[in-house]
Amino acid sequence: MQGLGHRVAITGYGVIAPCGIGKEAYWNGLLGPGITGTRSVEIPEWDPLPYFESAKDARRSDRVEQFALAAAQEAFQQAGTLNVEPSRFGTIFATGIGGLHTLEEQVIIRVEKGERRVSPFLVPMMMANASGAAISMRYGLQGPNETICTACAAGTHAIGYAARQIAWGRCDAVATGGSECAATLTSLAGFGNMTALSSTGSSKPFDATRDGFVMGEGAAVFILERYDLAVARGAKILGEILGAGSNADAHHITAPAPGGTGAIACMNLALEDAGLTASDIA
Amino acid sequence: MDQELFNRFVKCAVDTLKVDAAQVVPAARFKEDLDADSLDVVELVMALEEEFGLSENIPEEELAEVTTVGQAFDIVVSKL
Repeated sequence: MQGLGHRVAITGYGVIAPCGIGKEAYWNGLLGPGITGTRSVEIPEWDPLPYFESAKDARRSDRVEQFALAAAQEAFQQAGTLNVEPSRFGTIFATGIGGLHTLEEQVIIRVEKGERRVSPFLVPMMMANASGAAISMRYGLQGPNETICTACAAGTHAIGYAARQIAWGRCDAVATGGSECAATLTSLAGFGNMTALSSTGSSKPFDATRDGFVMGEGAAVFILERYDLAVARGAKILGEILGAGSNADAHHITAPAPGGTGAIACMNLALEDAGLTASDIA
Repeated sequence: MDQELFNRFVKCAVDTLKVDAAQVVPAARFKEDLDADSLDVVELVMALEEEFGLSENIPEEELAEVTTVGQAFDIVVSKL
């Protein structure tokens, strides 16, 4: 990865999704029967309490933040103890929207009961950067704490930018990833009316017969660490980030440019960043 | 102190602050005893305004002075 020459290792990760909580359950869920005939799918019987000190703290967090903290807990447990100064441990997180359930609930409360009944926690619960802020505060991460908000690409953008923080030498470790919980009734109506939802109720990106997506929810968190520091402390290296690319096709707000020219250019940027060619990718 | 009114106050405090009813006594301090910060108190007051049907909102200046359950209860009673 271009920068000051620091390599970037992945030393921990965690995941929360409708098909499984925790990476083992998640993987088994992915191999399961899949989703058919629905326009949205939620994590069944989600209980945030195991991830918070008190019921009050849990209630102050939108579900999107609860997911982020749960995924972070698994990721940090796997990574173990890092030998990193807090000021060099960053949080580069992502979401497409943020605490939309809280916003929608509070809009209804304002309309039905008036401004005086709007929760004082609305702003810290709905803001897109709440999840990253929560991770940073819980683990005492005092490096850069920034949230990338680029729709479906947000999580990937965050991971690339987080890795760059290490490659550049600004950080020695970064907690990164994304969280989403935005399938509210209003949001589903919007996605449905813009004809983005699957008419057959199944999500199959890259498939020739794809016909839209099914709204989901969940979070994933990765712990990125300067490669040599991870090796020095005896951490298990789960993977390495060799390169990342980011661009825009400047074409249309939802449709990709014909021929996938923007995506091709982006993949070439990532390959170039990694010092690889397309034929190196198995 | 009107016990029936205080019981309704306690119910609001238990719901919003997630504390045990036994902790909600007049001498209890919001910050030290009930782990409630200023935003928690705002949320509690909103719940009280609704529970007691107060037509007049409790102004911020009055809230700023409130440190104990007893003080908050007295303010509510004075607005009834």
